[in-house]
Amino acid sequence: MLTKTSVFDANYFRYILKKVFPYSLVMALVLVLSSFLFYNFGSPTHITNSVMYYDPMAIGATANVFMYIIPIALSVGMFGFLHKKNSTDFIFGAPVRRSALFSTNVIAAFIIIAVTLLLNFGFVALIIECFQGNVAYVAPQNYILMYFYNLAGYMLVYIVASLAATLTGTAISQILLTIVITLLPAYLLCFVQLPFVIQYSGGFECIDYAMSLNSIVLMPDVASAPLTMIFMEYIGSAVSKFYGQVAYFTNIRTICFTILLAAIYFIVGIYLFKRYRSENSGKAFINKGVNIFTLSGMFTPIMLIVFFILADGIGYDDMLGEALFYVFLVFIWVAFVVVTLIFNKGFSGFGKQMKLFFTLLITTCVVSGIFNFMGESSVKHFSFKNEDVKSITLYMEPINTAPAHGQNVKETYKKVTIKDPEMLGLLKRGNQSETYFFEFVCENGKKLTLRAGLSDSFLNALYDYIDSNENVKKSLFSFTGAKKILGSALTFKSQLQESKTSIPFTDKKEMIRVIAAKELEYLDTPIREIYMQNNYVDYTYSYLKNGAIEYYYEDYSGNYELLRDNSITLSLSALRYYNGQYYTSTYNIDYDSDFFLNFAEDAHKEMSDLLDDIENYEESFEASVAGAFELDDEKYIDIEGFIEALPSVMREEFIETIRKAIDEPLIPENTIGIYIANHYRKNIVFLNIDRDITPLIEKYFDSVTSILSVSQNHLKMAVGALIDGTEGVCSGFFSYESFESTPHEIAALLKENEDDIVKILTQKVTDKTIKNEYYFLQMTTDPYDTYAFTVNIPITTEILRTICPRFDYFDTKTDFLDHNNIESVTYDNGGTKITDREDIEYLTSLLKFHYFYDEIQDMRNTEDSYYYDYKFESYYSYYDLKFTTKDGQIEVAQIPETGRVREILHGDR
Amino acid sequence: MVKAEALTKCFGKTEILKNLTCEIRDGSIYGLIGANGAGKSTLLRLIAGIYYPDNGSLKIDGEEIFDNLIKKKDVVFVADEFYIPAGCTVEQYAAMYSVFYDNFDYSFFWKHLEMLGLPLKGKIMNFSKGMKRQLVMLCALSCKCKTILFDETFDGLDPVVRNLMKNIIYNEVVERGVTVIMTSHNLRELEDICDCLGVLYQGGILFEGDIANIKSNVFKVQIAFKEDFSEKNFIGIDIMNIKKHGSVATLIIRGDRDTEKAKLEALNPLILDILPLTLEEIFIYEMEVLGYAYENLSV
Repeated sequence: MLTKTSVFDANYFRYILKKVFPYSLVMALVLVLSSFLFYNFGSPTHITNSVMYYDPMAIGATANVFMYIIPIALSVGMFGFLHKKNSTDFIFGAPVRRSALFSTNVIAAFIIIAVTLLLNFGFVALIIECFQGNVAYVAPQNYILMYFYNLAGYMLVYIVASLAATLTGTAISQILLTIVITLLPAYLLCFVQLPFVIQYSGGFECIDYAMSLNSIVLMPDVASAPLTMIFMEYIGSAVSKFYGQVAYFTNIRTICFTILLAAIYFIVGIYLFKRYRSENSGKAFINKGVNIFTLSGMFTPIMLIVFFILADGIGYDDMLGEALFYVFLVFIWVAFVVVTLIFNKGFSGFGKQMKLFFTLLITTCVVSGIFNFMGESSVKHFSFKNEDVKSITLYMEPINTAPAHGQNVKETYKKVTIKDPEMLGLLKRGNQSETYFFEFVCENGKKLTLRAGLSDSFLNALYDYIDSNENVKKSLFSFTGAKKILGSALTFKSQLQESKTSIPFTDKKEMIRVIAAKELEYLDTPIREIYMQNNYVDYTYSYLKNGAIEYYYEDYSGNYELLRDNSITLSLSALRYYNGQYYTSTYNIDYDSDFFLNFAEDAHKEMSDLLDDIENYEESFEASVAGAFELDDEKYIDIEGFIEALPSVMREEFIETIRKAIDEPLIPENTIGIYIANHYRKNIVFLNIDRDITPLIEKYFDSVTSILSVSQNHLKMAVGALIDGTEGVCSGFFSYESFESTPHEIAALLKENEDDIVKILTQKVTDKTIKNEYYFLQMTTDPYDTYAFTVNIPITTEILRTICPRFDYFDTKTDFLDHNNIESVTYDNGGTKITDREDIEYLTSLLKFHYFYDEIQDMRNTEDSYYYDYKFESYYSYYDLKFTTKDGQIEVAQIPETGRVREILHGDR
Repeated sequence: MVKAEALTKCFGKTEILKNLTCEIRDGSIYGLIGANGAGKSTLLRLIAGIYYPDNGSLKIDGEEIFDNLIKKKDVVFVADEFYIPAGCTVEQYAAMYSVFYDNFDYSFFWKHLEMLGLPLKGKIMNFSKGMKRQLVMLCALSCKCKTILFDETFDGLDPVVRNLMKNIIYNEVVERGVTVIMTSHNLRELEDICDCLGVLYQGGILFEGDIANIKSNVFKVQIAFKEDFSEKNFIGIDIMNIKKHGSVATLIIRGDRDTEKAKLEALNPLILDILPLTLEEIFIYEMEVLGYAYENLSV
C-alpha cells in the first residue's frame, strides 16, 4: 500500500540535500557560467525575413550535452552509495523505505535541478535583455516553455540514470546503461512510426518511391544520425523531425511526452529498487545473466557511433565504409587487448577477457545484423502511375505568416486536398531541393506520406486551382492575431545586395494597424505571386540585364515569365509568437508612405546614438547601401562600392555627413538608404544623393589615390568584378577573379586614367558607356585579413584588360555570347536549322552553360556566388548545337534541354 | 526477539546461508563466530534489513525486518567496513546518524566520546582504524536502538579500549535491555561479554548455547589408577574426549561437576584433579563431538 513514508522520507531528504549540496553548487555554477556557450551568445539571434529574434528554444548541442552530463552526474552522486559496500550497508541499514529512498532522491534532484535551471534561465534572460534587447525580439513564453522543456529533459535523464543505478553497481556501468536506456525510446518510436518514405528513385515520368521502415535511424545512412539521436531525439521527438527540417522539441506535447516517459521510468525504477540485491553493490551489474546482453547493447551504439563518425570524417561510401568497419574492429580489438593488459597488469585473466570481448563482438555483429536486416527488408517499392492516385493532400506554408525556422509541418502548415484527375495527371517529380510534404491516397485505398519535390507544371496548376477557389485560398491564411505580434522591422531588399534591416519599431500600435491593412491586401493578390515571392529558388534562369539581374521561371507550358527584377523593395517584416512558435510575415511598403517617413524619423534619432558610440569608443563600423529609390540600377551599383569603402577611406567626413543629414528633411525621391552597423547595433540612415553623396564622391577619388600612394607597400592584390551588361555569368565569374598586380602599377594606372574614373564616379558619362566599359575594381591589402584596408574603384575596360590576363579569354568569346553576331544555329541530329532571331537570342543565352560550366560548378560551391542556387540539376540532358557567326566562325556547344529548347528543336510548340 | 526460520541467502549460485534457524533473546548479547565466508556478516545484514532473504523468514518481534520502517528504527548495524564520508567531522558524523535515528542521544555520545579519549573535532579521515571503529560503535550505541549489530566487533581495538567498549555495551544491555549481536573470528574476544554464542559453519548454526551453561557443564579431569584402565571403565559418565599418557588420563566430561566428580571418586583413582577449561577448549571438544575438525572452523 502506498503510504507517506513509502514516497517521501524527510530525514533522508535532509541527508541527501546536505550530501549533494556541493555538487549542486558546482552544477549551478557550471550552468550559469556556461550560459554564453549554452545559448551561443555569439550569434544568438535567428534572422527570418530579416527580423532578428532570439529564440531560447533553439538550443544547440551544448545544451543537450549538459542535459546528459549534469543529471547523470547528479544521479551517480546520489545513488553513489550503491557503488561501495560500506555505504550500501549504511543507507540500506538506515530506517528508510527503499521506495522512499528512490523517490526522495528524485524529489531532491527535482528541486536541485529546478532551482539550478531557474538561476541559469534568469541569468540568460538578464543577458538577453541587457545585451540583445535592442536588436532582437524574444517571446517571454519561450523562456517558460524552454525552462520546462529543460526541466523535464533533465529529470528524464536523471530518472533514467537512477533506473540504471538499480541495475548496476558501479558508476561506469550506471553511466553506460543510462546511455543505452535513453536510446531505447528513440529506437522504439522509430519502430512504431508509420512507414515513411525516405528514398526515391530517379524516375522521371512517374513517381516511383522506395519505402523504408526508418532504416535511416536503425542503420544510419547519415553518419551523424546516432549522435543526433543521442543529443536531440532521445526524448521521443524523433517523429517530428521527419515533418520539419529542424526538430523543435520545445513544445507542450514534447514536454508532456517527456514527463510521461519519466513517470514510466520512475515507476519501473521504484519497482526495481525495492528489489535491489544490495549484496552485489560494487559489481558492474547486479545480475550477471544480463551482463553480456547489456554490454553488447552498450557496445553496439558506441561502435556504430565511432564507426560512422570515422567513416564520415574520411568520406564514407559503401566500399570504403566496409573496409573501415574492419579496420575499426581491429582497432577496437587492439585497444581492448592493451586495456586488458594494463588493468590486469599482465596476462592474468587474459583468456577470460578475450572470451568476453569476442562474445561482445559476435553479439554486437548479430544485433547490428538484425537491425540492418530489418531496415533492408522493410524497404518496399511502390511503383505506381498517376492514374493510381485518387487524391493528394499537400501541406502548404501559410500565406501570411510562415512559421519561422523549420517547424513541425503537420502542425503549422495548411492542408490542400486535390482530387481533380486532370491535376493529378500533372504529378511529376520535380526539383528535389524544394520539397513538399504530401499524402497520397491510391485507388486501392493505400495511403502514403511522402516528402519530395513536385513538378512546376503541377505547382502551377495548383496555384491556379487555389486562386480560383476562394475558400481554399482563405484556408491558407493563418491569422494569429495582432496581439501576437512581437515586433517588426523594415528591410531593404534587392538581388544584388543582401537584405538590410532597420532598427525595430517602437510604435506598436501603428505597426499593428499597418500590418492589419496589409494582410487584407493579400486576399486580392494571386497566390502564385505570393508563393513565388516567398520562394527564392523557384527561378529557372537569371540574366544580368542593363546592370540588374532579372529572374525568370519556366511555366508548365514552357514559357519563361519574369519572376522579379532587381528592383529594390522596402519590406515590413513582422514577427509573431503563437503557441510556442515564431511566425514571420513580410509586406511591401511604399517609400513615400507616412509610415515609412515616420519610421525614418525614428531611425535617424537612433542613428545619432549609434554615431556617438562609434565616435566615443573609436569603433570600426561598416557601411553599405541598404536601398535606393528612384535610382537606376547602374547608379545604384556605382554608389555601392564607394559607400562600403567610406568608413576606412573617409571616416570623419562620412560621419559628419550623416550627422548633418539626419537633421535635414527627408526627400524619398532622391534618397539612398545606408546601412550602418558596429559590433552591437545597426541602423539605416537616409541620405540625399545630390545634397549629401555628391560632395563625398568628389572627395573620394582624391583620398583613394593619395592613400594608394602612401600604402603601396601594403597593397597585395586586387580583385576585379565585371559588370558589362551582357551576361550575369561573367559578372559572377569575375567577382571571384583575382589577379596580382604591383601597387605601383595600379596606382600609376589609376592616376593615368583619373579623368575616366572621376567621370564615372561623378556620373558624367552616359549609361551606355557605363554598360559597355565599366568595371569594378576592389583592392585590398590582404584578402584573408578581415581588417585589411580596402578601396573600391570603378575602372574602364582598358584598365582591366591591362591588369587582368584572363580578361582576353572571355573577350574572345564575346562574338558568340552576343546573339547579334550569330547567323544561325543548327541541330544536326534532328536536321533542324534555326534562323528565327528570338530563338537564336534564347539559344545564345544558353551558351554560358557550355562556356562556363566548369567555372559555374566551382562557383556553385561558393556561398557568395550569385549562382549558388543555380539549378543545373534541373536539366537531365543536353543537345549538341552548332552556332555559326556572321563572319563564318563555328562553335559546337552543349545546350541544356529546357522546355523551350525542346519546342525550338522539335517544333513542339 | 530475533528469530530466523529456515533462512536461506544465495549470492549467485552460492548458498551462503542454508535453512538457518535460530532465536536470539531480547536483552542478550549474542556472539556469532565462524570462519571467513561462514555467513556471519550476511546474517547480520539480513537482520539489519539490508539483504532480502531468498527463502525462509527473519523476524524481529514477529515482524519481517526488510523494508520495515518501524522495526528498522530499532536496529542499527555497524559493518566490518564502516561508512565514513570523505571530509566528514565527528560532529557531522554524529549528525548523519541523528538524521536517521530519532532517539540519537547526543549527551551519551559526547560523554562517551570524551571517556574514550577521542578527539571532539577534526576530520575522521585522519583517525586511526581503531579510533574510527570506536566512533562508529559509539554512534551506533547513541542511536538507542533496541537491537545493535556489530560485525567484527573489536577488530583493531587495543585491550584497554576493548574493555571500555565492552563495559559501555554491557551497561546498555543492563540498563536498557538492548539486544546485541556481534561477530568475531576470535572466540576469546567474545567469551567475557556474550551470554550466548553461536557457531556458524557452512551456512548453518552448528552449535549454540548459553556461555554460563557451557562453562559449568564441561570440565577437564586429570585422573590416574593403579591398574590399567580404558574408556570402558567410565560407564555412566559423558566423556567428550579422553587422552591417556601412561597411567594418567585427561578426560573432558560433560555434566554436573559435583555429580560427575562423585562418580569418578567412586572409582578410587590415585589422582583426581578437576582443571579449568577455556571457552575455546570447550568449543574445540564440542566440535570434535559433532565431527568437525577444529582447524576447519578457524575460530
